[in-house]
Amino acid sequence: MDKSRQRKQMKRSNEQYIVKSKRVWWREVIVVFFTFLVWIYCLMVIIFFMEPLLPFETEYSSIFRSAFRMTRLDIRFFLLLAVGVYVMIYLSLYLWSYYNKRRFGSLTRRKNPGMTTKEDLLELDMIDEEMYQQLQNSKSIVLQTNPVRLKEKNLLQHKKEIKNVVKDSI
Amino acid sequence: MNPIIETLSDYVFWYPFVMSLVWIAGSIIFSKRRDNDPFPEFESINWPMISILIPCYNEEETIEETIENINKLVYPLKEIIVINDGSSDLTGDILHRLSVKYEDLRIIDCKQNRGKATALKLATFASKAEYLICIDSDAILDPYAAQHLIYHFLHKGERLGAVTGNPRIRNRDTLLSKLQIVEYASIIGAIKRSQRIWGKIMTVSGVVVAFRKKALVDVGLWDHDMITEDISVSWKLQQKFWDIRYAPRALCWMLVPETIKGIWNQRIRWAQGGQEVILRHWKIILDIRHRRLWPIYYEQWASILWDISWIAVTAYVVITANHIVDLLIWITFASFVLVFLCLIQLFIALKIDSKYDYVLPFYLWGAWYPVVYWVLNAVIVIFAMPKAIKSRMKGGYATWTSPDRGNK
Repeated sequence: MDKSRQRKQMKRSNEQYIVKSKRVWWREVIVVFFTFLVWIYCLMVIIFFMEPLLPFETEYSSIFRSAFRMTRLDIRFFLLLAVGVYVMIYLSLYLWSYYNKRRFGSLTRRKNPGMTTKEDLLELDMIDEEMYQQLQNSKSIVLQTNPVRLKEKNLLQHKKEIKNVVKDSI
Repeated sequence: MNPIIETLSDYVFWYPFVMSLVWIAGSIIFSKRRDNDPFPEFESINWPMISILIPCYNEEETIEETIENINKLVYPLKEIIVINDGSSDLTGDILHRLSVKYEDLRIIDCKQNRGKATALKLATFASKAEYLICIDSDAILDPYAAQHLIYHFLHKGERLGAVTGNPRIRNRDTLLSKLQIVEYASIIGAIKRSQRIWGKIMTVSGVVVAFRKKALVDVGLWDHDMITEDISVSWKLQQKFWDIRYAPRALCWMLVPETIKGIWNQRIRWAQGGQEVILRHWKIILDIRHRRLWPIYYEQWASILWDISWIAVTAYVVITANHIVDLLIWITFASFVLVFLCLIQLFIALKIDSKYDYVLPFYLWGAWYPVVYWVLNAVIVIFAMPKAIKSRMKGGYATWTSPDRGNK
């Protein structure tokens, strides 16, 4: 009840962002019709896998089983395999995240990096100081060309820096 | 059957089978851990100033609404910097008019088009805040999205370089937009959640992401020569050991393409961007310190290899088919398994995402995904490959064109 109220509230609040466009009725009919066909195929797939788990058999599923040269037992075995693989993956990911949380979660291995200074930005050597000041102080500025310099040198320097990252920052 | 084709067939089946289970498991673990976190008490926090950067190119139809929305955000201390990157429409004029109207708005009207990355660089030099929130010019932020993003930097965020938000789709009337709603929740959302469990993220969402300026400066800002600056900067940050987090509560509403051509162009760009990044950053596999990035890196290659394998196997089946029945590749056991698994993944991911935006009813349209829609994505990857290789060899500026913002 509470969840349903929350959902309604969320729906109402999100609705303001939704854009409505003109819909053509015959196009909608075509889309719904083809979606219906696509769902028939998907339902065939769902029944194919669910039926061997149920205590009855349908003629339709047995057609596919014979086309695939499979028995109900084969499908049950495959589903079991899939569940097994899933459990293995789930446990691996869960243990991995648990390990990370225990091993690194409580550590503070980096100090707060602080604020970026004007010097930090100018060191990138992409714009000159005068332009930096203009950009910083203007509310509205018109530029005929983009003053950011294309410097392949910067890229090369960046690549070198990556190699030389201090080990203790890992 | 040819032994090579047989091996490729096995790969075509097992790779999506295993990865689908990984995405399901990862998103469930993330959801239990993070989606259920208690809501932070925003009132007690002393929020730092933020700069919201909005680069735009030919956005006369959307920019006014975006700025109006951003101006209304409840974040206490902010400046909005809009960069007009040489638009040929009325974007510049609109911005000049709005700069008078809104006190927090600052504009940089650049007459030369040099691409999104360069526009963002320019805005970074103009910004006064340490935390930057970059959004697309058609994006509308949820009233508390900025707080949800910035909170991460203030809460055990010493090594945090970026926080990516949760893009939501505004246009929902056509089949293609409905399919993208399913895709954003079930494929993109599930992958982001799972990758957070792995520890690294392939990419932030360029449409809504918060950066620490110090981290950006540390990596030399965005790459101007990569077609997707968001993927590229994500890799640069993580290579320098800056963390990236995912904030599913930071909702950002955006418009998506609603024509095949629009989606095609957008996805070619994404695929090309991903491929450019793995070509540029291949050296991480030689450095043990980057071992946590390896799974993401190899998964990208595995995914490309899968696309090539699928095309090769399908072509082989078509060429060697003796009967029309041989061509029914959707009626095989392998296809049945993958469709079944995909339907499960879509349902679970939509259920998880419905916590923020009730998208579960769109599952009705999700049936198209395993049957048809993914083929489009597979073909796109192949078409993007020569572009990525050519772009890596050529270099230069990656400029942009006006994107498809859906039907009006």
